[in-house]
Amino acid sequence: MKRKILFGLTTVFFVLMLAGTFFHQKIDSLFRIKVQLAAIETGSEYVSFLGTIDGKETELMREEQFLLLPEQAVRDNMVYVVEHVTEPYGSYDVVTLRMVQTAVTTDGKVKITAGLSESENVAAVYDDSLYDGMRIVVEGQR
Amino acid sequence: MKKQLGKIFTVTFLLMISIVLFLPIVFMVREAAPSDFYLLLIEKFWFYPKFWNSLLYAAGIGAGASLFALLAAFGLTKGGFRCGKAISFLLLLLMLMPLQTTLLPNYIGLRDLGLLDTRSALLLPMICSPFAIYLMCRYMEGMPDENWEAARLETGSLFQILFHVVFPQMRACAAAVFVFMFAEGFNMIEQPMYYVKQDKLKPLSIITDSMQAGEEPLIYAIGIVCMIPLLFLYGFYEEELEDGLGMLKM
Repeated sequence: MKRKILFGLTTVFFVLMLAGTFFHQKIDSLFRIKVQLAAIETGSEYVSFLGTIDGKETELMREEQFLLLPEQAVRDNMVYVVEHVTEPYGSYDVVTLRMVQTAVTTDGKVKITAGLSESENVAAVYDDSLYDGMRIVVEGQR
Repeated sequence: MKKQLGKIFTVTFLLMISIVLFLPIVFMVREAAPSDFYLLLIEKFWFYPKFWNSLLYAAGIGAGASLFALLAAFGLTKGGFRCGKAISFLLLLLMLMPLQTTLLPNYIGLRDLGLLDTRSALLLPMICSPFAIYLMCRYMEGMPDENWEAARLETGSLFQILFHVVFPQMRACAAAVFVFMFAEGFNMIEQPMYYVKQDKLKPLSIITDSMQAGEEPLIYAIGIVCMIPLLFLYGFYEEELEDGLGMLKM
C-alpha cells in the first residue's frame, strides 16, 4: 500500500516536472501583462539652417528624419521600449523605460527626433502598471 | 541501573543528532517563500534542463554502479580469484580515501581518453564506485555457495546463473546500492565542477556556480524540489535498504 502511494506520488511529481519542462513558458505568459506594440511611422522634413558658402552666409536646407509614435505611447518624453532578451535556455520580452526627444504633436502622433530608432519596438500605451525591466508578453504584431 | 543510564544517554545522543540533521531542512522550508517556487518552476529557464541533467546522471550512476558492482563482486567472490581478498582490501582503502584525492587521477584519465566535457566524464568514474563494489562483495560473501554450485550443475552458462540465481538473491543489495549511488550522483559537486565546462552539461547541484545576482534566495526552493525525488526513492526502497544493509551488518 505504502509503495503504491509512493509510486503514485512519484508519478505525479514527474508528470508535473515534465509538464513544467514543456509548458512553463506558456504558463508564465498567462500571468504576464500583455503589451501591444505601437506602429512606428517614419517621416522626413527639410530644415533650414545658416551655412557659409564661398565666405558668404547662406540659408541652406537639410533633410531630417523623424519617427511618429501614437500619443498614448509617450508621456513626459518617456516611452517603454520592448526588448527581446535571450538567455541560454530561453528568451522573453521586457520593457525598459527610455527618454526620447519629442517635437510637435499632430493628429494624435508625437514626432520623435532622437532617442529611438525605427527598428526598435515601443509599447503602444504608456501604462502605469508597467515598470522598467518588467517581463511582458507581446501581443500581436507591430 | 547502569544499563538504563546507558540507554537514556544513547537515546538523548541520537535525538540530538536527529535534531542537528533535521534543522537544515526546517531552516530550508522556513526560508523558501512561495514566490521563490513560482520563480524557479515557471520563470527560470535553466531549472528544468539542469534538473533533468541531475536526474539523468543520478539514474545512470545508480543503475550503472549497481550492475557494475554486481558483476565485479560476482567475479571477486565467486570467480575463484586468488587475489580476491587483496583486491577487496584495496577497494576498502580506496573507499576510505577522500574524493579529492581521486579527482586529479580521474581528470587525467578522462583527459587522455578524450572524455572531458562530456556526460561520460560524470558517469564513468562514479559508476566504478569502490563503495558499491565493496558493499556488493560483502553481501555476496554471505550468499550460500550451495545455490551457486547447484546452478552450475544445471547450466554451464554464466549469464543464466547470473540472471536466474545471483540477481534475484542480490536484489535487496542492488537496490541499496542504487539508492546510495543515486543520491551520490544527484548531489555530486566536485566532479561537474572539474570535468565539465559546458553549461548545458552541468547538473543542478552546482547551480550556485552560475547563479546571477539576486537569484540566491532560490537555493532554498531548489533544495526542497531536489529533496523530493530522493525522499520518494528512500521511501520506495526502504525495505531493500534495511535488508541490504542489515545483511551487511551480519
